[in-house]
Amino acid sequence: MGHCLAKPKNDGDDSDHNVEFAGGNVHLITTKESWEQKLAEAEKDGKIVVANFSASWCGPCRMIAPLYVELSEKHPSIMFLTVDVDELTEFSTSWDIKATPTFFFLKNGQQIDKLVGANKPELQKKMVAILDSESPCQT
Amino acid sequence: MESDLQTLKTRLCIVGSGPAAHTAAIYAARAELKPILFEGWMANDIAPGGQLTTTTDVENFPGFPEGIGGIDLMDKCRAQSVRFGTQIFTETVSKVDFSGFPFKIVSDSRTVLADSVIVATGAVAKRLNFTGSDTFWNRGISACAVCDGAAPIFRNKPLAVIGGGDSAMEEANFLTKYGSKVYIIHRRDEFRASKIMQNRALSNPKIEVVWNSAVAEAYGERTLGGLKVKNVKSGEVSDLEVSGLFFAIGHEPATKFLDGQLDLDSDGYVITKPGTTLTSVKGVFAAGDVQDKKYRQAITAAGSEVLANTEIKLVGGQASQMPDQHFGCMAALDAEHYLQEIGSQEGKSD
Repeated sequence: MGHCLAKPKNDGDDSDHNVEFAGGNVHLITTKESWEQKLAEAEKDGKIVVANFSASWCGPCRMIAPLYVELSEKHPSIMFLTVDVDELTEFSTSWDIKATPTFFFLKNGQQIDKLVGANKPELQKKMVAILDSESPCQT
Repeated sequence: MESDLQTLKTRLCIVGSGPAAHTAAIYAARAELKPILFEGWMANDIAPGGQLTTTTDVENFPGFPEGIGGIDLMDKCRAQSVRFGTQIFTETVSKVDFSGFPFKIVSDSRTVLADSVIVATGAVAKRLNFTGSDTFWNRGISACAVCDGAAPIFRNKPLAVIGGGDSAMEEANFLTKYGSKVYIIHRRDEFRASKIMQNRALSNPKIEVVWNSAVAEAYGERTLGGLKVKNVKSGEVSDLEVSGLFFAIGHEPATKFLDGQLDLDSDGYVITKPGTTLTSVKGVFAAGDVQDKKYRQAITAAGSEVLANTEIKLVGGQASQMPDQHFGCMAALDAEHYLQEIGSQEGKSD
């Protein structure tokens, strides 16, 4: 496993789990408007966006959340978003999310990489890769 | 001689993070054994808490009349362990050494030297291999109906379950809530499930059994579209259009990390002395799904009063919580007696 199969949540009583997903410099996205706003902001600032599609009931998502928060604090030049797949079900489906967590790496709104599963070393590797691909004048 | 890893000493080290491990931790901590517990970092691709973290609502655990979420239940167990003084490391044990004394338990960050060990690493649901089984894994093929059955790709579509035990019956019934039809594909001509579970499945109008058959191939485009099913008696291959396939064929114990240091049965479960948590190594105990099933059932069959109420059928990932607790508790007590026997004292240096 290492991830959960994405599905619509039946009842909504784990709202307090969301606190684990926000934190550090991670922005929790719960509406389509805030997603579009953040993406526009990133494009204006020339920032790469990492979007973490997660669910509060998903064990692996919670496992990788602390590392994600840590990365957001270490790399302020990158925009870190977390999308709650239950709050934004249709939106997540439009991204073809089949399992959580799924990480998308976006540049200028285009997908440049993707990672499925709570894979700590892979996530770190992909972070290094996109940082390296950044132009030298950006930290 | 000393590695770069931090080395800790303890009287009891517990490897695992499910109900058995935490029950053992709670009892051990309350017995002032100051246990160290390794809950794993996505060990076996499962979050700490074990199989229950892959379940949504747990309805059959006593004490929760409204049911409780799997993750919530395990969060509570963990909190209880911590409350009484268990030191928990979110690290995966990469190897152990039970050949000498004290026992060594090693993760990426530290080595623990323990006077006694409880192995409670559980088991993962088994999967089958055939053409397409990897391609469509999580694209229609799953090993947990309860976890995944509600996904949109299965809604009102024909689904299939492979298996013949109580798990398979339960999962097939469960899936009829979401699918238009559920096929149970079984390689023999009779189920080994309990009569009551068989009846429930067979009397469900949405369930159809495909006897003496096995899946030869899974096909589809982006997600599962259908199966080629082979009749193992006649050799005939037929087509079954389904959008989902669920394995309900049992579990695989997490014992590879032991590297043969404990006696295992032919299925990889840790062999324990009947009615106890004692393993082939004195001072090492095993509790929960990782223990061999044969003896546990034998004890149950013998009608031992202590275990009379633990003859609970395996139901998917919710496995046997009561026996886990019973054995988890037993493991802690077994460890405590052992430690007294060897005169292990707190703070005693080697």
